[in-house]
Parts: sequence; C-alpha cells; structure tokens
Amino acid sequence: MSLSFLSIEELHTGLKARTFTCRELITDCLECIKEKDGEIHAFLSVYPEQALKLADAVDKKIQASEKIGLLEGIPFSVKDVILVEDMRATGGSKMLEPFIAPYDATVIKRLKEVGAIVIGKTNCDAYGFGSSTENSDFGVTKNPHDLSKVAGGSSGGSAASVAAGMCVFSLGEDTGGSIRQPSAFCGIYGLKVSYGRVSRYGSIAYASSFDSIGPMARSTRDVAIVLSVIAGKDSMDHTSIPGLVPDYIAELKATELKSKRIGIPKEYFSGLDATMTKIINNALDTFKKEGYEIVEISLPHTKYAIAAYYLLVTSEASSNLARLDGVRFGYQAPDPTSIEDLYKRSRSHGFGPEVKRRVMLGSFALSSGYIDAYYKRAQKVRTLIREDFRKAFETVDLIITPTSPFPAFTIGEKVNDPMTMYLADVFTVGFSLAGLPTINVPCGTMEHLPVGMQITAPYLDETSVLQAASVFEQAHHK
Amino acid sequence: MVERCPVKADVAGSNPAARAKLKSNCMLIDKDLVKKVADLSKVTLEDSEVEHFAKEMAEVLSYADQLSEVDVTDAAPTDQVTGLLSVFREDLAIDYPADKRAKLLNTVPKFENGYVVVPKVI
Repeated sequence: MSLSFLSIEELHTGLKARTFTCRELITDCLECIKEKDGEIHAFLSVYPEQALKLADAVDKKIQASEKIGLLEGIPFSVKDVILVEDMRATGGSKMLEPFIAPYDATVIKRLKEVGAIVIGKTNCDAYGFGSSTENSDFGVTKNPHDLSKVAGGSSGGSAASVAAGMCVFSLGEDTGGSIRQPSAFCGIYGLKVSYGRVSRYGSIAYASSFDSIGPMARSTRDVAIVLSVIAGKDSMDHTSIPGLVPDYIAELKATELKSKRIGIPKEYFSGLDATMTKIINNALDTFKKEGYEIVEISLPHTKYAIAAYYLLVTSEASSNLARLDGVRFGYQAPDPTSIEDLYKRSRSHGFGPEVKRRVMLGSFALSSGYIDAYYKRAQKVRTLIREDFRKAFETVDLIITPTSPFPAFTIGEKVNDPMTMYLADVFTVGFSLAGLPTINVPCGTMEHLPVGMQITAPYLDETSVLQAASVFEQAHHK
Repeated sequence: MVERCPVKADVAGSNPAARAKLKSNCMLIDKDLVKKVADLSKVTLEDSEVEHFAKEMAEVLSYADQLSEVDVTDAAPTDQVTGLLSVFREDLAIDYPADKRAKLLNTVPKFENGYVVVPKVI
C-alpha cells in the first residue's frame, strides 16, 4: 500500500521515526498520480519539482533532529479555484487557462506555514458550477471506485485525488454541496464549514454569501487536523468570524459528548430509494447503540431550497464573474474593435455553456422588472429556510440526512439536462442556504459505490459535527 | 413573458410524472428576452444557442416559480448569515514587494508602460 493512504498522525510518526522519508512519501503520491491519473483525471496541474524540493527540506530537518509539526511534509491537493502562488488557477475554465496565481490564498498561506506541501491543483466544474466535474473545460474526473461514473462535483478532482491515494488530503470549496457530494460519491470525509469559519481570501468567488473552503480527507481526525490550521479570523476576509477557534483535535478526544440528540427531517426521506433508506437507517442504529437519541423532525420549507438556492447563487455568480472581462486577467479575444467587443468576445470564448447559463439566469433574476419576483423573493425564502433550522435546533443537537439521493451516476447521464443536474443537489443546498457546518461521512455502499450521510450542527458548531462523525467512524469500523 | 408552470418540488428529484409535466407544460422564454439577458451578461450567442438557452432558462425559471406560493409577508431578506455588521480593519498600507507587484501585473493580458491596455473607450 502506498504511504499516502496512511493517516496524518501515522505519517507524522513515521517521518519522525525515520521509517520513511518525506521524499519517499511525496514520490509515492507522484507515482500514484502517474499510474492512475491518466484515467481518473483528478489533477489539472501537478508540481513534482517544487514538492520534492520542499520534501528534501523537511528530511533535512528530521536528519538534524529538529522538531517537525504534525502537518509538516504532508502532501495535499487544492481545488483549482483556490490560489497557490506561482501555480495555475484555472477554476476549471478556459477563460483562466493562462492565469498563474500571483499570491497565496489565506488557507494556503496557513498550511504552508505549518509545512504542508501542495502537490497539485485539482479538477472541478468551471467556477464550481456543477455537480459532476462534467462542466470543467478540461474534461471530466472519473470516480476511482468505477471509472464509468462521475466523481461528483464540483470538487470532484479533490475527492478523487484523496480517494485514490494521490495525496493525503485536499482543500475543496463548497457553495451548495461541492465538498459533500463528491466526498459521498468517492467515499471520503468532506467538511463544509460554517459560512465564515474559514477565510475565503484568494478563492475565486462563485456565490459570495455561500462559498466556504473546507478539508476533504480519509478520516474525521485528518479533517479536524486540517481544520484546526485553516479556521479563524482573517483580516483579508471581512466575512470571516472573529474570536477563538475551538481546539478541534482535543475535542475529538473528549469522552463526554456535547450533543446527543439527532433529528431526522422527514422531508429528506419521502420518496428516497429503499436501499439508500436502509443504509441511513443502519447508520442511525449505530448512533443509537452509541447512546444517541433519534427523533423525527420537520423542515417544512425544504421543497423550496433548490429554487431559492439556484436563484441566489446564479445572481451572485453573475456579479462575481463580471470581473472576468478579458482585461485584467485570463483570456483576451484578439483584435477587439471596441471595449464592448473585447468583453463580449473574451467572455463568449472563455465561458462554457453552463457558465453562460448561470450568468444569464443570474442577470435575469437581478434585472429590472424581475428582481422582486425572483432574487428578492428567494432571499426571503432563504430566511424561512434558516428559521426551519433554527426551530429544529431548539429540540435537537444534530441533523442527519443522506448527502445525495443516489450514489455516483454515470458520466453523461445528466449533463445535457441542467434542471436534472440542479436537482441532484437537493439534499445539500438547504444547509448551504443556512450557512451551517456539515460533513459527509461514508456509511455504506450501493452495489460497489460509496454512499454518504450528512451530519449537521448549529452555526459555528463544527465540534459537534466532528464528534458525531468520529463516533460513527469508530463504531462502523469496529 | 414567463409562462407560469407551477410544479411541486419533488424533494428526492425522482418523480418522473412531475418532471414530465415540467417539460411539457412550459412555454419557451421569449428569444428577445434571452438576447437582452445575454447582452446584460456581456456574452454573445449564436442563433442556435438563443433557442437552446430559451428552452433551458424557461425550464429552470418555471421550477423557480414555485417560490411564488410561499408566504413571505413576514420574512426579511437574508443577505448573509454571519450577523456581522460594519467590519473594519486598520487602515494601513501593506508593504507589497516589487516582485509580488510584478507577478500581479503579469496576469494582465496587455500591459504597456505601467498601463493596462484596452481599446479606445471615449
């Protein structure tokens, strides 16, 4: 087995004990990429030289018996919407094909400071617009569990890179399910943090009142370790939450659990596939055995979540993508006759069909004559959806639902029908509208494909989410 | 302009009857409206694309129309969920080294003598 399948703590111990070197660890990842990524296509760019150079520096420290940190020398991948200095950042879009990031996103800066090593940038639907990476302008990412299936999206490359052992963890970005759904499809843990918990500075904005960056990894513990580094106030992102960040690693060790009452929203289970229902029920049985109480709850506005979500995110996206004008960065159309011509031809060439679709839907929802009926009404419905959760959390500590109504679907199955693709996000967008912390936890398989559940807690309570995920993980693997 | 096409949301997204109804009952969005929205979005569309997008936008907006059945009388709009207001930071110039500045400007497609080059605007 490749070294990159070990946990962060096992790797740290191994590096310190000189059981293997950091160069060997990075080399294992690079070889895994070489061997598997021709087919899977998780990466859009890989940086072997830079990674090996950093690995040698870590090895030198170890040889000199210097202390190394827990994440020092640990290789990770980064969704291509997040900037890493001197590396490409296409965001999955042809428009940004020539773009080299001139600075580090705050999350990258923080991970570099503790010595983690970026190995490459991962594929995604252009700007995060999609649920399967089929909207990437650079080809689809295939599911490591079955190459005929999608890896999910939009952070599909990140999920596949972690599941296939090409790196130890990844940073994804989640607007309406883009960390959780690919994590479910690829059988890994993916945390969408509370909106504002992690700085978004240096991330290519999709929908600014939704976007969040979070860790994707093969265990709850690895997720917690990465979160503890990237969480917290950043003066470069005014939406980041001030105040102390809990010690997530220590909280995982706590024997006295903070939250023990789980709500099951009935709206998420009506019409759900029988096998999927059984898998989730088995997971709930595990929680019962661990002393959790399960109660049925109702989130009455659930059925409006997709409609409200897509009106709001396309509106926000249409504003955010205005900056992609062919003037300041990215692709520029040749020989423009006027500034208008420059904008239009650059954007028409650089934007794929889904990007055009979303920008146009957003422009429509914000346009004079329609803004009240679409954008503003959706903002109000968002309030009602948040109220549903607020009321639910008066009686329960956690909410559990499936992450997706189905496991990974076949490549090409939904891509030509945008509405069907949008409906695939039905279980994830509600939590995004409310900005809540929620994690995908693998909890079974349908045929040979992974199935995940979503564990959600009140705003800013990542601790309860991680504790519950960890309890299940340990009980499930007993 | 938009044909109302109320279809109840099907949470699991798997009700074929509702989906079929959604598709068959929806009129197209006006082509002129698509062209107007494309213009607002600063993209140009081929004629075939106009037709295609009209159909797709009609389907999505018809689905979105179900929000009209929600009573939002007492609901204030949500702009953001943090509850943070008037966030300030020290108004300090941050030292930006010359090499970093050069990297930033390097991302501009056309740059001459310290200026970003665009076609004549006025």
